[in-house]
Amino acid sequence: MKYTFILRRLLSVVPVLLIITFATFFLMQLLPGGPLAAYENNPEISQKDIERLRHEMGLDRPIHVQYWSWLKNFAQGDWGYSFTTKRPVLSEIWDRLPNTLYLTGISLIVALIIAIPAGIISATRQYSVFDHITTTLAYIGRSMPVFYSGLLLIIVFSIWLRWLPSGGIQTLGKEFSVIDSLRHLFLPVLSLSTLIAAKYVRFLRTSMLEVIHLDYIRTAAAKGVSERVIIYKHAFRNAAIPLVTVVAIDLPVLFAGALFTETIYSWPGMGRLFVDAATRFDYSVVMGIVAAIAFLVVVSNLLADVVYAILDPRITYS
Amino acid sequence: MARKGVLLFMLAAAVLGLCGIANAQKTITLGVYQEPENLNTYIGVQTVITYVHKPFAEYLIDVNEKGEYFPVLATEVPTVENGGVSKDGLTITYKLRKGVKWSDGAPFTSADVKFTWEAIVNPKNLIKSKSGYDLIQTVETPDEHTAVVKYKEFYAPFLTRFSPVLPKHVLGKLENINDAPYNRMPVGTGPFMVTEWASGNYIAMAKNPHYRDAGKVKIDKLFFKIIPSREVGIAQLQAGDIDGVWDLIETQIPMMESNPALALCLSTSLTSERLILNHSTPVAPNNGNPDFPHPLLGDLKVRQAIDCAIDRKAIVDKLLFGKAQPGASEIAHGWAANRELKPVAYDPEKAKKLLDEAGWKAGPDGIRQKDGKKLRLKITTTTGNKLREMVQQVLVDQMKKVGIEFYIENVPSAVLFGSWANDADRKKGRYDIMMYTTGPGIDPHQQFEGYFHSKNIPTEANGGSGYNYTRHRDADLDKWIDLGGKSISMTDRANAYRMAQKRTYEIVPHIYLYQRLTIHGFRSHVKGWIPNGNGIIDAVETWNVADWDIQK
Amino acid sequence: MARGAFHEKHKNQLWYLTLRQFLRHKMAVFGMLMMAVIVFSVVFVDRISPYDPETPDLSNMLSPPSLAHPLGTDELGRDMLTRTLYGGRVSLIVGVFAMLVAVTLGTLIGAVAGYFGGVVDNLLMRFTDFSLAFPRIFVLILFAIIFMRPPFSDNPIIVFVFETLYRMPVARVVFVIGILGWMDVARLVRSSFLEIKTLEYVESARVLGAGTPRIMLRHILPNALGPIIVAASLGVADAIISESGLSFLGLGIQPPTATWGNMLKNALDQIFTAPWTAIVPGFMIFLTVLSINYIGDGLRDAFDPRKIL
Repeated sequence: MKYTFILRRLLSVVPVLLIITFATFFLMQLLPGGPLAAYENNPEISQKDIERLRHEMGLDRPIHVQYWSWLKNFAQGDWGYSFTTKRPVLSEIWDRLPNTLYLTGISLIVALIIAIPAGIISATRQYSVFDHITTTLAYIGRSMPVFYSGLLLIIVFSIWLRWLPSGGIQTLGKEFSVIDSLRHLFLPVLSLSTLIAAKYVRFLRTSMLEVIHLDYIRTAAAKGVSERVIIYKHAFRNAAIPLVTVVAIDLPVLFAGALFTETIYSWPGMGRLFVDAATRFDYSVVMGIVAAIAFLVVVSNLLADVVYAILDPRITYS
Repeated sequence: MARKGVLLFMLAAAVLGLCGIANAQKTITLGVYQEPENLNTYIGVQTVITYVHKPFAEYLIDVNEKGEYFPVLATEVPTVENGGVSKDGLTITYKLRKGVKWSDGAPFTSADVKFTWEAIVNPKNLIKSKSGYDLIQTVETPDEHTAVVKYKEFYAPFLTRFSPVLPKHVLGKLENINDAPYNRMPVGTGPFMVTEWASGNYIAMAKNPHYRDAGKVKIDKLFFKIIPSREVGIAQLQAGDIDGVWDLIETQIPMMESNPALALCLSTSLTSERLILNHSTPVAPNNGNPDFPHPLLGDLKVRQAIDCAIDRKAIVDKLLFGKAQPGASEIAHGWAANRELKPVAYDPEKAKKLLDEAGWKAGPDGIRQKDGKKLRLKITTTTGNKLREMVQQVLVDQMKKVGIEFYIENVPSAVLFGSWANDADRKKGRYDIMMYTTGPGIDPHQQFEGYFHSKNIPTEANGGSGYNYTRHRDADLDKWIDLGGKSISMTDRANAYRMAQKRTYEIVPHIYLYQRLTIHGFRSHVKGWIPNGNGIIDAVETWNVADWDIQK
Repeated sequence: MARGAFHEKHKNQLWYLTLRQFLRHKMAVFGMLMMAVIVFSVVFVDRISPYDPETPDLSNMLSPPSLAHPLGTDELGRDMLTRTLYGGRVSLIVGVFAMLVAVTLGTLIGAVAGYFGGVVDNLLMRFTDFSLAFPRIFVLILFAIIFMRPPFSDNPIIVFVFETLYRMPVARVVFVIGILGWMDVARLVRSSFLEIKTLEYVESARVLGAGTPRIMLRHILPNALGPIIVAASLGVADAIISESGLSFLGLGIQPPTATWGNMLKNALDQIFTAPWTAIVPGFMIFLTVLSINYIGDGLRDAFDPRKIL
C-alpha cells in the first residue's frame, strides 16, 4: 500500500519536470544580451563574425526547435554546453555540486547539533532564562541577512584577528590536510549554520511545546515515567517528525542559502556558479542548474512524504 | 637510551630537512575574479584569458613596457630596413628562434606558424576574430626556422599577428579546435605549463622543463585562484592567502597604499574612460540617423560646453587618488600619440558663455531652456561598477553648476554592449550620452576606423556593424584615417593619426575623461614584475612572469 | 494599564481584546516603538537634516563619525546618517509595496482555492506547494535579470510591462519580489476560507441569493483578516531582506538612489578603511527586520483566539 503511493509519486515527477524545463527555457529567452554580448564590444570582431557565431551556436533557429533539440539531449544526459567555457553543462555542475553538498551538509549537521538540544531545553524549561536567551538569539538569527553576518565574520576573524583564512576550500599549493580544510570550513559553516539553527530551534520548540501538552505525555508523567525518558523517548520522537519533514523539504532551500555564503567565501559551489552564469547570460548553465534544483525539490518532497509516512504510525494509505 | 635519542634526533632532522626541501618550492598565487572561459585567446573574448595565458603562450613579436615591439619567438622585428618587410608591405619574413621546444618536448618550427594561420581561417573553427589573417594569401615555410607571410593587401597592424602561435602537433589532426583539450590544458613554449584546472577553484601551472631559459625561471609553481570579486581578492591579499590580485580598480588604491605588506603595480594603459555623445536624434523613428541631428548635442557649442564644465582634475584627484591622467585624445602614449593636445581646461564660465551663445538660457529651476525644451541629458553606463557610478554622480553635480541636467540610467553591460539584432540602444542610436572605456590596441587602426570613420555608422543596411556610435560624419577625419591605414611607412602613419586626433579634438565626438590605469596588487615579497600598459592583445602584468621571484 | 471606565466599556469588543493581547507581548511593543522611531526619522529626514543625500562633497570623503557627521561620510563625502535615512525610505517603500503585491496575489489565489475547492483547489495548491519549495533566491535573481531589459517584441502588452519595469527600478524590484512572495499568504487564506465557508452565516447568505464575489468579499474575507495581517507584516520583513540581497548582488536598485542593500554593496571596497559605511546600513536592515519580526509575532499572539479568551 505504501509502495503504490511511492510509485505514484515517482511517476508524477515526470510531467512536473517537463513543465519546469519548458518554463525555464522560455524564461531564458527573455534574458537580455545573450551569450554573444561579450563579443559585441570587441573591435576585433566584425558583424560578419558575430552572425557566423550566432549560426554556429544554433541561436538563430526558432524557439520551439531549440527547445525540442535541447530536451532530446537532456533526456540522454547531454545537458548542452556552457556558452562561455564550452564545457558540458553537466560537468560544470558536477564539478561544483560536491563542494556545495560538503558545505551545506556540514552546516546542516552543525545546525541540528545546535538546534536540537536548544529546542528541547527551551521547550521543557519554558520561560526560563535559557529559553529567553535562546528565543532572542533565534530572533536575531532570523533577522540577520546572511551576507551581512558573513562579511562581519571575515572582518573579525580574517582581517582583525588573522586567525582564519578568508575564503576558498583549501590553501593552494599545499598538501591536503584535515586541519587546513577545517580552518577554511569554519567561518562559512559558522555563518550558515547559525542562521539555519535559528530557524529550526524555533520550529522544534513550538513543536515540542505542542506535544508536551498532549494527553499521552501527561499520562506517562502520571505513571511515574522519568522526565528524561518522557522528553527523549516520547515527546522528542513525536516532535521530531515534523522537524524531519521540514528539513527534508528545506534541502533545496539550503542550496540557495549557501549562494551568498559561497559568494562571500569564494567557495567553488553550485550557488556561485549560478550567480556567475546568470550575470554572463550563459543560458545552458542556468537552465541546467534550475533543472537540477527542480529535480532536487521534487525528490526532497518525495523524500519528506516517504519519511513522514514511515515515521508516523498514525498515517496509513489506501 | 642514548641510541634511541640519536635516532630520534636524526629522524627529526631528516623530517625537518625534507620539510625544508618541500618548502623550498617557490609558489605564487594570483587571484582573478573572473574564471577564463578557456585558455585559447583565439576562441575566448575575456581579458582574463590574456592574463592567464601569458606564462605559457608566446608570440612571434611582443610589446614591452615602453611600447616598443621586441621579438620573442622571432629573432628580430621585421622592418623594411632589415628586409623583413617587402617594399610593398605585402611580404613579411619572420626568422624564428632556434632550439625552442613545446612543453611536451616537441620542437617549435615554422610549420606551427603556418598552422596557426590555417586554423584561424578554417571556417569550422569558432574564432572570435580573423582580422588580418583573412587577408593572408599564403604562409610559406622554406625551412624550419623561417616563415614567409604573404598578404593579399596591406594590413597595417601586421606585427600584432601570430600572438600566440598554436602547436600543430597537438591541434593539427583535429576536426576543429573548438572543444580541443588544448583549450583547457594548453601546450606552450613559455616558462610555465598548465598542470591542472579545477573548475571554479584554480588553474595550476608549474615550471616548464623544456623552456629555453628554464634555468633562469625562479618560481616553481604558479596558481591562478578564482575569486568571486575584487573585494574578496583584496581581503585575501591582505590576509596573505594570495600573493597577487588581477585588475583592481582605483577606489581600492588607498587601502593598498596604507598597508606596507602590499605593493601596487600601476601602469597607464592605452584605454580611456570617455563620454560618447550621440550626434543624431535618439527619438524614434529617426533614431541613429545622422541626417537628423540631436536636438541638444547636435550643436558643437553644447558639446564644447559640456567638455569644459568637467573638472577632470577633481575627478582624478579625489576619485582616482591622483593615479590617472586626465584624458585629451584617443592615443595617450606610444608612437602615434599627439603630444600637443592637452586636456580641455576646467572653465565653467566659458561653458556658461557657450551655452548662452547657443541660445540656452537659464530657467527658473537653474536648468537651461530653449524653445520650451530643457537642457536635460541622459547619461548611461554599465551597472555594478562603483567607480563609474561615483564619476557619474560627480558629473551630475558639475553639470548642475552650469545649468545642464544630467540624469542617470544605467544598464547591465550585456544590454549596453548588445547587438543590432538584440535592439541595443547603443547600436540603434537611442541614447544621449554613454560612458565607458575603450581604446586602441598597440596598433590604432582598428579603433580609429571603427569609431571615427563615417563609413562605419551602424545601420540597417550594413547589419549594424561598425562602431561609429556617435554618428558623426567628417570628411577631414575620414581622410586622415584612410591615410593611416594605407601608408606603409610608420612615420607617415604616425603623422596621419596625429592629424586625426587633432580633428577629433575640434569636432568633439567623444569627450575624454581620463586615461585608465591598469592596477594590480602584489604582496611585497613578490619581485620582478614591471608595470606594462601596453599589450598586443591586452596589457597584462604577467607579460614578464619568467622574471618573477619571491624574496622574504 | 488604565482599568476602570474605558476597560468596562470595551471589554467585550474584539478589537480591544486583540489590542490588549498585543500589548502584553513586550518584544512586540519594543518592535513597534523601534519602527515608530525608524519611520518617523525616515519620513522627516528632510526637515531634520541639513544635508542632501545625493550631492557629492569631494573634500570630505570617507570621514569617520564626528560632530558634524555623527555616522561619518561615505565614499563621495555624503553624510551617512542622512543617506541611511533616505535609503530607509526606499527600502521600506519597496518592502511595503512588495508585500502588498504579494498579499493581493496570495489572497486572490487562496480565496479561489479555498472557496471553490475540488480540482481548482488541488491544482492551485500543488502549484503553490511547488513554488514554495523552490529556493526563492534563484528565481529572484532570474526574474531580476529578465526584467532588466528593454522590450523585445512589438506586442503592446510586452512593451508596456517591460518598458515600465525597465525604466523604473523601484517598480521592477517591487514587482519581482512581490510576484514571488504570494505563497504563504495563499495557503493561509485558503485554510481560512475552507473553514469559514462551512459556517452557518455563509450558508444563509448564499440561500438569500448573494452572489459568489459578494460572499467572498463581504462575508468571508473580513473574518479571515487575522492571519493575513500577520503574514503581511512578516512579508515586509522578507521583502526588505530580499531587496537588500538583490541590491547587494547589484541586481536591485541602482545608485545614485540609496537603499540599505546597495549601500552595503558600495561599502565592500572600503570595509577596512571605513567600516562604518558597511556597519550602519547592515545594522539598519537587521534592526528593522528584527522589529518587524517581533511585531509579527505579537500580532500572531494577538489574533490567536485561544490566547485572548
